[in-house]
Amino acid sequence: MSASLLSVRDLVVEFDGPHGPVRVVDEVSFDVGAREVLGIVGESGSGKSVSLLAVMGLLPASARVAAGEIRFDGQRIDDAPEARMRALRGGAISMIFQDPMTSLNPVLRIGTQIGEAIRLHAPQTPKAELRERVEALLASVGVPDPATRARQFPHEFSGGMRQRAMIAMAIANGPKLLIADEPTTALDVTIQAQVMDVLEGVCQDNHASMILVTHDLGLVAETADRIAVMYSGRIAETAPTDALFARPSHPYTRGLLDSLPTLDAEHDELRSIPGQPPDMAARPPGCAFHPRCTLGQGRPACSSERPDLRTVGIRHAAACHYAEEAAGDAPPREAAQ
Amino acid sequence: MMPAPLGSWSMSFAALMLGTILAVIVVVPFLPFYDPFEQDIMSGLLRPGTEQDGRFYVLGTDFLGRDMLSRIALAGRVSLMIALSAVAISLVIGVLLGLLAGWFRGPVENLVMGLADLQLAVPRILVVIAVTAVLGPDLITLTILLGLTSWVSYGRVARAMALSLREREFVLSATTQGAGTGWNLRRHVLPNVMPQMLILSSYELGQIIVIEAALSYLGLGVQPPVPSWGLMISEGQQFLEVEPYLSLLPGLAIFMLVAGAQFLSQRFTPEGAPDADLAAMRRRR
Repeated sequence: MSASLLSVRDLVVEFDGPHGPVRVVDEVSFDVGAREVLGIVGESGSGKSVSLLAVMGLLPASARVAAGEIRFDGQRIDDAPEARMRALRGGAISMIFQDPMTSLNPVLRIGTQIGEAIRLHAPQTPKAELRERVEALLASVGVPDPATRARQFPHEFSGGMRQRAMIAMAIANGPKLLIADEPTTALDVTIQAQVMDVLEGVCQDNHASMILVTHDLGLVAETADRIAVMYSGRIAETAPTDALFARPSHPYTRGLLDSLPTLDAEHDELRSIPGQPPDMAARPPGCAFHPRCTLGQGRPACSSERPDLRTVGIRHAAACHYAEEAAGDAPPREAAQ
Repeated sequence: MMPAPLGSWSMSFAALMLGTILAVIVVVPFLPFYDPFEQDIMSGLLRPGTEQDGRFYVLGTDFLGRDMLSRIALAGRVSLMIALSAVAISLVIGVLLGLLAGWFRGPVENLVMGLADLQLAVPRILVVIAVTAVLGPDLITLTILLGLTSWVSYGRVARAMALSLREREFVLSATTQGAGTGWNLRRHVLPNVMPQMLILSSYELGQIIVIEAALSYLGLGVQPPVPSWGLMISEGQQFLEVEPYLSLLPGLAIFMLVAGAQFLSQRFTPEGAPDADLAAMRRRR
C-alpha cells in the first residue's frame, strides 16, 4: 500500500487518567488511498474521533500519541512541527464537524468565515477575488443565491445549509483528504441524503479522499469504499464495503448489522448487543468484546489471548479468534431468532 | 434580565434622557450666551427660568453668578472625557489580560487572576485618593489612574468567556483550517467577547462618572474653576437648604447620562450575544 494518501500504523493514543495513562486508541492501523472513501464505524467512545484528532495533530493537552506513526503523502506528520501542521490543516487535510450549529461562529457572516479559510492560507488574497471565490464555493455546495447568502449570519441558515457552508469552508483550499466526523448526525434524515450527495460531489470534483466517521452503518454502506469497524479503541474488522456486509467476520460487526432494522423481516423488537462497551481504563483481558460475545462464551482463548487483526478474505481482516465461524456458521439474519 | 425590545417605552425614555443630556453637552457651547466662567456677583443664585438685565437664565446661576446651563454643559464634557478615556484604557487592559488568562491557563492565568484579586482587595477610590495625595490632583493623572484601576471586571468576564470560547467547536473548526492562537483570539474569541465588554463598559462608564464626581466633590478630582458635575454638587451643598437646584441639576445630569447609557446598552445585549439564535427568536416575537 505504498500509494496510500494517509497511512496510520499501530497508532496508540493515551489519555492521562487518575490511575495512570488510559489507552483510548490501541494499535490502530488504517490506510486511505487516493480518491478512496473510508468509513470508520463504531459506537460513542470507541476511539474514532480521537484517532482523527491525532491525525490532525489536535489531541487535547491531556492526550498524546504514545506509539505508532502517521504518514500523509509519504511523510510522517505525527511528530511534525506545529508550523507544518498548521499549513496542512485546512490546506491538504480539512475537517467537517458533526454539529454545524456550533462549528460556525455566530457573530461572523458566513462569507467572512469561508473567506477566512482562504485567507489563512493565502493572506494576500485581494478582497474582490476573495468574494468571488467564496460565492463560487457556496454555489458549488448547492447554496442558492450565494451573493446574498454570503452576507448572512449563521442563525439565518438552516441546519442543512450550515453544513453546506461548513463543507464549503473545508474545500476552500482544495484538500486532498476530507475528514468528516459524523457530518450528518445533527441533521434531519431528509437533509442527510442531500448533504451526503454534496460531500460525495465535492470529493469527486476535488479528486479528494474522505474519511467518513459515523455510527450509522446505512450511511457508510452507500458512500464508503472500505469500512473499518472500531470497538474499544481497536479495529475489530476492516473490509471493502460489499465484503463487510456480505460476510461480516467479527461477532461485533455481526451484532451491528443484526441491530439494523430491515424492511423484509418482521420483528417486534430490534435486536441489540447485550451489555455495555467496556471502560477503557479496565478492559477485559483477551478480546475486549468477549463478555458481550455470543460466540466467545466459555472459550478460554477469548478471555486470555488478545486477537490481532488477521486476513480472512481479500483486503478483509478481522480481529477474532473465530472469525471464520463468525462469518460462516452464523445463521442468516432472518432465521436467527 | 430579559432585554426590553427595541422601541419599547423604557428604551424610548432612556434614549430621550441620554439624547437630552448629550444634546446639552454638544450644543450649548455653540450658543451665544455660553460662558461657564464669567462671574456676576449681582446676579448670583438666580432660580432657573429667571430673567435679569435682559438675559434669560434657563437653569439659573450659581453663587458666583455663573450660568448653570453653560457650566453643566462644560462639566459634562470634562466628565465624559475623563470617563471615556478611563473606560478605553481599562477596556484594553482588561480584555487583553482576560483573554490571555482564559486562553493560556496555567501560570498566565494565575498571575492575572492574582493581580485582579489584589486589585479588588483595595477599593479603587482609596487607591486614587492615595496616589492623588502624593502626585497632586491633575486631570490626566486622574484619568490614567481610573483607567488602571478599573480593568478587573473586564478581565474577569473576558477570562471566563475565553475559557468557554476556546472549547467551542468553531474555534476547533478554525484550528483545523490552520488557524493559530493569534488568529483564533483575534478573529473568533474577541468578536464574541466584545458585545459583553461594551455592555460592561456602559456600566463602568456610569461607575467612573460617579467616582470622578465623588473625587471632585472631595476636592481631589477636577479643580475649580473648571466645572465637573461632582464639583458642582459639592459647591451647591452649602446652599442646599435655600437653593437645592444648585446640587440637584448636576445630579440630574449624572443620572440622565448614567441611567440612559445603561438602559440603552441592554438594547445591544441580544444582537451580539453568542446565542444569536435566541436573539433572533426574541426579535421575531
